[in-house]
Amino acid sequence: MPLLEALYDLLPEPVATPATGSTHAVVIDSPAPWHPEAGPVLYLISEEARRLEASMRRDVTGRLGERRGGSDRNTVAALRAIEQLAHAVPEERARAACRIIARWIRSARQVADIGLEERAVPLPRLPGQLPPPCPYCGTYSLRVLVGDGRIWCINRTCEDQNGHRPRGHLDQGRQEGGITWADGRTTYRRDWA
Amino acid sequence: MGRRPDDVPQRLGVTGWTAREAAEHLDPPLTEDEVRALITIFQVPAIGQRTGGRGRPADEYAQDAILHAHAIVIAARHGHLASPYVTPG
Repeated sequence: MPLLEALYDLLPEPVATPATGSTHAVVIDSPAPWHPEAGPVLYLISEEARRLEASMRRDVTGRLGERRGGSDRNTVAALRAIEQLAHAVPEERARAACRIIARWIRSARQVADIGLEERAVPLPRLPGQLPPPCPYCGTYSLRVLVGDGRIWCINRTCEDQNGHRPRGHLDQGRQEGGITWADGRTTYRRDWA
Repeated sequence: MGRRPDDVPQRLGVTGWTAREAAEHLDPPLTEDEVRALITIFQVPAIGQRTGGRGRPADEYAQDAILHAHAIVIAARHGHLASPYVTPG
């Protein structure tokens, strides 16, 4: 599990916040004694892996099983058990587990010092101005991957005209700042105000 | 022995936000206290509770309800909503 190992390797690095990127920033608080991004992601995976394993084990055997201890070895064992249990649970449960694990992987890949995946950010805007609202739900819920311009709405109940979660592409080269949506709609910066 | 989950995949699927998560995700940003005020003012109902191992479980709220309340507050802050107490002109 190279991604998990990378997180464990980063853990003892009490670097400054990702925003400052340096340990020479003005100290306003005690720094966390672990890597500020890798630590929470590892904690999330450790906690949720145990819960997911217990849930899947109950689906298969009717029992939650022994509660695991908090060691790193137990985390790896829980992940291995999930891998095995996925073959025995109903397909719907296996897919749900897959989505959960995909979220862990995405969180780990987005740790800045791992740098395998870009983190989505709100749309760029001028100081003092509001971000563009989602044209489908009207909330400030659009997020973009700046590198490739992929854009989507984080509102889980929002749907485009095709009944799907709105996804589009930010045309950064165009001065009017157009967004082309998957359902064929196009919105422009002048519509954002 | 601590509390064990009843329906973990649904809970881990994260259907809602806690106030802290909302404060982390909302843009333009609000503080956690502002999010709690927003939840109170707009009477956003809790849809569940999130147990994180220790401590009191955090209430979980529908993400879309928080986003809509946030949009109204932010638009009002920027003067994009007409106040019923101000007549134009």
